[in-house]
Amino acid sequence: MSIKYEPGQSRVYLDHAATTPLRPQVREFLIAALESGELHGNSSGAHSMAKVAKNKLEEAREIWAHHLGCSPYEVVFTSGGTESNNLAIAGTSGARGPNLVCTAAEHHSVLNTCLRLDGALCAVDKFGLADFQDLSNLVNHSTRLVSVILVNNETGAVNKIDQLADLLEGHAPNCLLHTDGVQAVGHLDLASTLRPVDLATFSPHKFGGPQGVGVVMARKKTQLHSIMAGGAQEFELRPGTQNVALISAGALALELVLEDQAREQARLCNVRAHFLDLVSSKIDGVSLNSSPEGVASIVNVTFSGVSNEELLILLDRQGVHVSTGASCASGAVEPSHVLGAMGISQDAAASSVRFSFGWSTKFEEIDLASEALICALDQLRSQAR
Amino acid sequence: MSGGVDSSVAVALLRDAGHQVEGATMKLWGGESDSGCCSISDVEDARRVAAQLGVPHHVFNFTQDFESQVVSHYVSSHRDGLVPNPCIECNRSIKFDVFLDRAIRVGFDAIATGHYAKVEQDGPQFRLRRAHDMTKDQSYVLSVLNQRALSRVLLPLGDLAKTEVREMARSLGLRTSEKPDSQDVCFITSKGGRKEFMEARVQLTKGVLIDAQTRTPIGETDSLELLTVGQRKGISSGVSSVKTPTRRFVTEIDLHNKIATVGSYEDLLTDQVKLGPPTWTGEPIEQGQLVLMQFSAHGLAVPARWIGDHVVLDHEIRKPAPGQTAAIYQDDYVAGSATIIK
Repeated sequence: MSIKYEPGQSRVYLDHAATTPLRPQVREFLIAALESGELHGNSSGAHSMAKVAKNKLEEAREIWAHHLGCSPYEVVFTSGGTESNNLAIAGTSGARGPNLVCTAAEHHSVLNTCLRLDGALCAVDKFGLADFQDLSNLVNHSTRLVSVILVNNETGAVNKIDQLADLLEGHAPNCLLHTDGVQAVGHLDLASTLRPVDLATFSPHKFGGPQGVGVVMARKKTQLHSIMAGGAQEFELRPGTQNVALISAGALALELVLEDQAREQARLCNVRAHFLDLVSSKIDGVSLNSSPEGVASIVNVTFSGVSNEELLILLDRQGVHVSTGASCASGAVEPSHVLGAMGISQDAAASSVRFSFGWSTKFEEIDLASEALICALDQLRSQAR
Repeated sequence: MSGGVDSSVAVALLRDAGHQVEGATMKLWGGESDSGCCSISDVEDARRVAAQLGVPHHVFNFTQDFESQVVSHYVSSHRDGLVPNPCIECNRSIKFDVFLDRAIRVGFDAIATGHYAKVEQDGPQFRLRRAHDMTKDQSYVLSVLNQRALSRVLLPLGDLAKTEVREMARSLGLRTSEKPDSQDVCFITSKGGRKEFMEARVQLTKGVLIDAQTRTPIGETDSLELLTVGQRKGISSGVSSVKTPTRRFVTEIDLHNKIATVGSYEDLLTDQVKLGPPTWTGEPIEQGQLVLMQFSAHGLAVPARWIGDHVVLDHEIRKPAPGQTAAIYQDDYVAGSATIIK
């Protein structure tokens, strides 16, 4: 085989939009919490061990509330981003049929929840941003919920939430606004962005926290209801024993990412610029699907005439880990519905790869990734059918 | 790796022979399925076996190629009154074509499958040969391969018996060791069958059933496309109302004139089979040569004389269904294949 994977060669992880490595402080916190057993108690219990856990849980809730600009009673912990999006949408009374609208470029956890409830889909522009004209045609006085992703997970495009909220105020005064903020943490000023938002959802493993925990910000007026039957945990919105260690680790990750946001943003902008520089100067047949105004952490690129499934194999063999956005249940690469909604042809979508950067990304990794890309593309293009 | 026991063991054998092996499972069909090669549990089985054997595993999405090459061919053939073999079509246009291309592009020297057949090198030529275990021989479904494919294909199970393969899988602790063989077309469900599948894609044609001897109408059918030459059961309720002393078979389907001919067993017999243009595994066979013809996956090979656009059989056989593949053998080597026209 021309490109071989050599064990021990350096690994380049450019798939932060899928999940991020745990930040060292978060890992240390989790290990210590598990080893000490300090948070082992069931936070719903009455004894002292339970109260330690309960305190830690509420501390995490306050951290989120502070940074989201809401009350602690408006922060609900779940098992992850997908559950959070399900709860925010399916838990909103009356949000179904034409009274529920989301964009065609949402993450599957929003898109499929809306489709299951027979909701309507709003068109998007060439960057995947909500088409205001189409949205204003779809909403009216009966509209109950509009869900628009804050930062697109496949392209990094940032929807203009404040303008959307203005539009809804005029056209759909009885409507709640939900935004899937899973990819937004660390990239936008959360509290100010979320000011006009009623429901927002987050997932700490996208910014150095652990997998298995999610957050719904649900403002009081949303009168959200639980989508599962069970105990009274999480203000009767999400039954089940909370995983306090993970929830606390998630809150710690939030604090860490926000404390360093400005510097890290500048660094990631340089990382992206360096990557785009190398790719555009050294590789032919490249087109950028991401908006230049999107977040710096996600770059979606089409390499013409090349199958992204094949490119992934050759990059992986060189220790470079990237993704194509979405996989089906079998693990096969599926044509991206987001790129499709943006008007990108199926062929071009099948030649597109998402590179996503994060806290652990180093400049050297970008150099290694671009070298690996050049090798892989040379091999694939020289043998094009 | 289909997720079955044969390809699992094929991987193990190649790995043990010192090859640098990676497993790949093709996702071919995006729709409903109850068996075949693309269900999620089959992919999981393949992935797990690859992990147990310590080889990387990939899933390739070929749903678009499968739809345009195999499924649409299946539908259009049926519309023409033909009964194709989609597994052979998949071998021809997916497994040993686009899949092979991909394998080469990403740097592999060859692909391997768990088929029971052998590829032998004879000078510059690669020859496809029946498996050692004749009860499992699958050379028929590989008869569409050309030299390019044969030069890049390894068939590690060719000398093994199925019982040996299962025993190896058991001793390796593979979860696929007791898995039954897949039998059916992966995109046709047992519940809906061919009828439901075809109805969703084409308007089925009503037709008149004609007696093979008298040429008079004896009944009707709602769906000419679903009849197969040689079929006996469920031709039409119309036939049973006609007094016939013998069993009745479909002997011919004419979609153009919306007619199916129904006759006795004797009407079904033929000693000549008309064929489409052949595909040769190597050198073409010259006209007039003696060959062995096999008309179905597990059918008996019949001695015949190769004429070119048809073969003259040594003795009469039941008419094979038009659209099916005729595999052409010399001894136990596959010379080529052609589609049955009539």
